[in-house]
Amino acid sequence: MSRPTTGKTHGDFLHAIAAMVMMTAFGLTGSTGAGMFDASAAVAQEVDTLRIGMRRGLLTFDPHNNGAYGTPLMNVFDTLVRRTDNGEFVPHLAKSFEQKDDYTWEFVLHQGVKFHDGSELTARDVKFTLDRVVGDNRLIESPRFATIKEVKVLDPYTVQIVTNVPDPVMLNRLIRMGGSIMPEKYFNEVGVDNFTQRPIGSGPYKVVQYNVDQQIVLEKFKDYFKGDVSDWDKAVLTILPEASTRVNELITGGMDLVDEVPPSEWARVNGNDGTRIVPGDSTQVILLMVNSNEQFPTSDVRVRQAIDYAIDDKLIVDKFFQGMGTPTRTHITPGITGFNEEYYDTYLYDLEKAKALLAEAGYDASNPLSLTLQVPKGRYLLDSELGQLIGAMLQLAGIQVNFEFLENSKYVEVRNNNNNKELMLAGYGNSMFDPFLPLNALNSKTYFERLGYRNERVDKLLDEAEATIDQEARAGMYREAQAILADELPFIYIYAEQYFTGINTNRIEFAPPSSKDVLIEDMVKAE
Amino acid sequence: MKRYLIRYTFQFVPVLLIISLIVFGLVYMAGDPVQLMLPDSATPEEVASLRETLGLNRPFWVQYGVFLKNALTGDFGVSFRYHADAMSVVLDRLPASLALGLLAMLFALSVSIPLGIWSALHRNTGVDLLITGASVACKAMPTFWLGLMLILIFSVTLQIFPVSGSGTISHMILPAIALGGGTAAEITRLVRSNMLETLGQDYIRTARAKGLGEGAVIYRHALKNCLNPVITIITVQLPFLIGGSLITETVFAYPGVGQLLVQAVNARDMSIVQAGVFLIAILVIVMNMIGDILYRTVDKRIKY
Repeated sequence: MSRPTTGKTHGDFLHAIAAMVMMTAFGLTGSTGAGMFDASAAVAQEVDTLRIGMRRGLLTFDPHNNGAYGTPLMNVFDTLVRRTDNGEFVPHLAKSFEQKDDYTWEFVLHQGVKFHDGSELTARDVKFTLDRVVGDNRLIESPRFATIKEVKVLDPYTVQIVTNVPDPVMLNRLIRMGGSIMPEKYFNEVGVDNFTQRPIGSGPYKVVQYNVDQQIVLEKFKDYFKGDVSDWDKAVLTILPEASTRVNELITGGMDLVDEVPPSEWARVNGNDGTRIVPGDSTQVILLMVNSNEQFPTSDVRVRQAIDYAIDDKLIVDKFFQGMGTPTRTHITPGITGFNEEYYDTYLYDLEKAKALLAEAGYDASNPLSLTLQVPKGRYLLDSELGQLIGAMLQLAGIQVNFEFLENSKYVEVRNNNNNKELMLAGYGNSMFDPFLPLNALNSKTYFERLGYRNERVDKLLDEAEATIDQEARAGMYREAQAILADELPFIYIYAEQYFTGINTNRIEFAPPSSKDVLIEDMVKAE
Repeated sequence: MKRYLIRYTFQFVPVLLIISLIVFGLVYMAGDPVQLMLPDSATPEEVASLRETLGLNRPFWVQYGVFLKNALTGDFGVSFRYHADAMSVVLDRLPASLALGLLAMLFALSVSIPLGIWSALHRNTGVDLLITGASVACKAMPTFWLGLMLILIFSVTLQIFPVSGSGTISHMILPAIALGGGTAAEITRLVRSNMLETLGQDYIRTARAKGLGEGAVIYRHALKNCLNPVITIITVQLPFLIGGSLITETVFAYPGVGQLLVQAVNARDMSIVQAGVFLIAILVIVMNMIGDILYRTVDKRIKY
């Protein structure tokens, strides 16, 4: 190594570094136009392009394995039937449907429905889709289709679904992502990995670009079987995990719609000219999952009731969500079979009663009840703040609360391994719009190890309702079950959630659906 | 020099081994990925069978051995979210982070060196106080807060720069300032104190005695020497600006390695996490080595 001999070299050397840094920085960015960075979050405003900012990306474009987040998928895929917000099932891919007997449903498909690759959607694709989700129990959606015994293709446009047991909720199963009809030929040709990168459905929009966790670009499908259903030629869905970034994009006109706006940002959105928060009812209920197994003090029903009495649901809704949300003692929200208004928009709060119940159960100031409250972080709107407030309310009743705050993935692991303690803050939606989905968790055959709750009458009611076709009779069974559950409290319900979308009112009109799925066709261009 | 390189290479190997052990150990301790891969309704048999398929039922050291063997060939497994080789997903994001990191460094240098000199030359005046005060504040400010403030001022109120995203140089200005702010503060203070020290040296007095102009004294004689430690800072900071911009990239929705890592951790896409952390670690080691060599090159007092 030759050593520098003059002082001048030092200065040259530093210049060289500076030049190198500069060249590299600009050299790299200079070539960006050619697509080095495919994603561009601040999407240029175009008249016919809808720009949506979403908090989370998709788990996957496989409709059978995506969990609960429907927005992009429901625009790309179609289901046999759809459910309107007033609870009616209407034909969609199927132009008609009929229940032949307790075990058999028949669907007649529209002719000439095209997938995005131009191939025709027929009864074979329906069979392929349902056979796949029934047959592969590693798929997230699989348990929801467990009642299907067989799918029969009668002719290219007629398909029958035969069930093991009388299934009153077959249509509810088919309206969600798991019922998205996938193209058999294309799927088998490319395999699941390629399918999820370049998905093809029959929906009003096709995927033209998909960068995982960054951006999804959808383009109107010209051969859509219902014709031109939407005001938008294109939709760009950008993942913006930071709430403030989503709101800033909305306010500066970079986005037309952003999801999951937290209460702390509402004033900023509503105070800005041309943007507004649109609250929407959801089916999600925030609750405390109680562990009633005998090693826990919460196995005593009086303790559970004391906890319920100690929590002021209304205060929570008012304090955190400016009153937007509904205190509830049941999981069944309005418009759903078996809705029992006696338990909705009401709550029990009586601190003295809580203390009396605790005393009755053998706890007092010298021997206080001590329990653990597990709270997820970042899973639900304001979840950790909510956990702290609930904890404080319990402490007012003389209960000692140990908090366990869990990151989302840790939370899922703790819950799935049944390592839940006395109380765990949870939120469950009802994407099937039937009491079957949320109440079945409390059937002792489902999660006994986790919940430790068993009531034979509840089990019987839930089992019977699951196999009864007569919706009136089912509703009665679910109403009775709700009454028992509101008294015995294996779940302590807190409030039914609303969800908050920010929109640019100069660009769109939007009525948020209770499914929370943002269908591009439902978004009307503002005049 | 040759001896030094050989020695450094020998140091490189154990460091890499330790890093690989940490990377693997952390993910191992983070818990059982099978729980997250299977639906709630999975039976214990299904869990057991998937664990066997993935080799997760083998002892720690066996699993680590397999991991190490694959890691040496750059194989960190397939990301279940991207359906692609984890390292190639990370490498795809590297240019974006590289550009942002270098721009942040460029910003830091171009602001801090003049300010540091200015501050030293006007020691104990109001300007000096202002500059040192500002650099302390800048260093203390959390990156995300600085980022949010920059967005509020320059994107929302003044609407000069876009709020988030990437694609043009204007998308990079605010993230680069947010990211480079801390480094700028650090270098400013370093330059100032070095400058003050250098200006007190005998050879500066000699230079002045020779009748050199003040400009020549400062820029030709003093500056050169006081900038040497800056090289160390650059080489230490640069890997962090490139690979460690997790918060900045998230706030600005900038699609670099940092954002990728945050999303991978949230989704427990562990192959991406391992590949990303490994890559950043290598970046740090290599940059440190380059820094050492450069430093020895410019400062003749240091022997190999």
